[in-house]
Amino acid sequence: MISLTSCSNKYPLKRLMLALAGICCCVLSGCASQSVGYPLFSSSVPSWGPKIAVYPIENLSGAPAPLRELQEELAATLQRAGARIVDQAALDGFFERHWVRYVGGIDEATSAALRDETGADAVLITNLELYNEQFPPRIAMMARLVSTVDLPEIRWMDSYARTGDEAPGLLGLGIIDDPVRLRGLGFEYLEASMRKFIMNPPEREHKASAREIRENKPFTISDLMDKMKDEPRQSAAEPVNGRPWFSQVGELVSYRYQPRTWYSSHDVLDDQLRSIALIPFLDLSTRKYGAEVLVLHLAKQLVLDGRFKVVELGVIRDKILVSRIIMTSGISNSNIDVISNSLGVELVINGKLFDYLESNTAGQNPKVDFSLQMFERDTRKILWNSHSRNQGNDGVFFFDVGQISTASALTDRMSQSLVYRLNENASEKR
Amino acid sequence: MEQRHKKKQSGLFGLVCAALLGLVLMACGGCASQGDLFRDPSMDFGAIRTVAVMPFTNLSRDQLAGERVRDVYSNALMSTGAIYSLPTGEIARAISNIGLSNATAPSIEDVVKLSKALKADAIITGVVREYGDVRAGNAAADVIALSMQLIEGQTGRVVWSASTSQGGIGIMEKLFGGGGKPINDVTEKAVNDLINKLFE
Repeated sequence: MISLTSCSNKYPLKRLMLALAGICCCVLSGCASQSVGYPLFSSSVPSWGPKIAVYPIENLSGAPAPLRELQEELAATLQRAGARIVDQAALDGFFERHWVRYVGGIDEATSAALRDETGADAVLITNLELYNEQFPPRIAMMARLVSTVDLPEIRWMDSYARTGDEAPGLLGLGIIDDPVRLRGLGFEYLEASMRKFIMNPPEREHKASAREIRENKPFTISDLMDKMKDEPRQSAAEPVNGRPWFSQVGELVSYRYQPRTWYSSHDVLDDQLRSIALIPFLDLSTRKYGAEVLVLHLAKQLVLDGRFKVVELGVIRDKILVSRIIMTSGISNSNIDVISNSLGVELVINGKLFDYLESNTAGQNPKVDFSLQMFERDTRKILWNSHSRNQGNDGVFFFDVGQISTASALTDRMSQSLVYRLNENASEKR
Repeated sequence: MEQRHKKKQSGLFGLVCAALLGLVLMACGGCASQGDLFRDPSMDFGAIRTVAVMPFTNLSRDQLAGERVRDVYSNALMSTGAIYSLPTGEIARAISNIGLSNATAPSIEDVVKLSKALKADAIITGVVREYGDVRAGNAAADVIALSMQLIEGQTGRVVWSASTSQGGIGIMEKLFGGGGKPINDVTEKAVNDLINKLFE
């Protein structure tokens, strides 16, 4: 019989090696959460992709932030990675000439002028959602690439949200206490995601454009009358397929971030390529710019989904300002007409934000509560209506597993679940 | 003598029975949940397909309670698939077009005008009587009290009216403390209760 002590005494070197390997593994596991996942380009790598005009970062955090520093870091990250960027001096000159003050989006006229004067193929618009340098540092930001060809359209969109103590790892080795490092990780993540999109654009199913079909179809009074009929749509019973059997029994297990209640007209929306306009939401929350942030997250999920063409938010803002539309308690039929006719969109999304609470050091969980409605252009009927409400600790039972630490990440999950549910109910293959 | 005694005994037994019956009846009366519900028996509720949920009267401390409850109610009503609830923006436009001064409690003429402008079959008005936390000793819990009316669009008649109250401090909160269910959960429960009363 070989005893454990005799065995260990026999191989002291092997034991030492194993212990060292174990320590190395522990250290690596602590660092693992910080890796970006894509190798960085060196300065020797030739530049790639379209020529991008990097807009100054828009601060939606509701608190002061070092925007100039962040802007420089973003530009440096993109340059280091080899992206073709419009010269900063040329961009500043363009801003001065055209009196560009709003940097949270781009309208049609500015986009065309930018393309003509600087040769930019796309604009990178970045929004800062959350910034806090106090320990644990917190950052949340979102970036989108908008094409400057024809009507500006969002091509790529991604977000990054993280707190310094989100992934502490073993012995707290994964804790990030330096805000500069944290935001560096954020910029690297966004750059890698954008590069991945440009290098390997996702393959989308080719669909006929709903706008072309509509414009080529001859106008008849009977068609118009059919569309204007006042009969409301009656929805069928909600299908529960695609859910595990145990969740269907007494709603024991529900999807964590899906809308609490929803209505769908069950109209098929994925047979043609439809355009969507996201109208600014009514903000009833206490968070400054909460509604803007929510709209950005919804836009991101719709862009990632790829079934709809998402009109650039700056274009919608410009049309609303030009048309003098004021919505005090939601969108009306006349507003839908004005927006859909001026933008040529088939679907209009509007909603209300009730709560957008960030987490804080006192143990407050992030909380988001909003409702959303989607309208059809011709009939002006509601195709989708839902109410979503979640907290960062929803579905968390053991040791904070699955805990969400920022309202940004929570909104992202809720929006993702909402878009999934919307598509499930409006799909041809349902 | 014996006969008189038997008669006296049977009388006492009858009295006890009557008292017990009275107690049972009183207890049943207390349990009855239909006391806060009115339904017009002559109304065909199946004919109502489009409704306008008007802004609710808010009697609570929370300034946004009316808007929150209205949104939850409107969503829940639509999600039943039986009734189409008009968008709030369109209702607001109609209110301003007809010059309605008190949108939370419209008169019969206003209801008729409004339903014609919105092409709605009925108008729903409501009152949020209580919304928020209540305290009793060390215990605290969220509570909501709502009442609603369904007014027929063509005649301006109230055809359905109901109220509900959910949440508050129960025996569990009194015994073990804790804050009860969150206000949003309580609101959903109250709204579902009202919808059940509408469709029953």
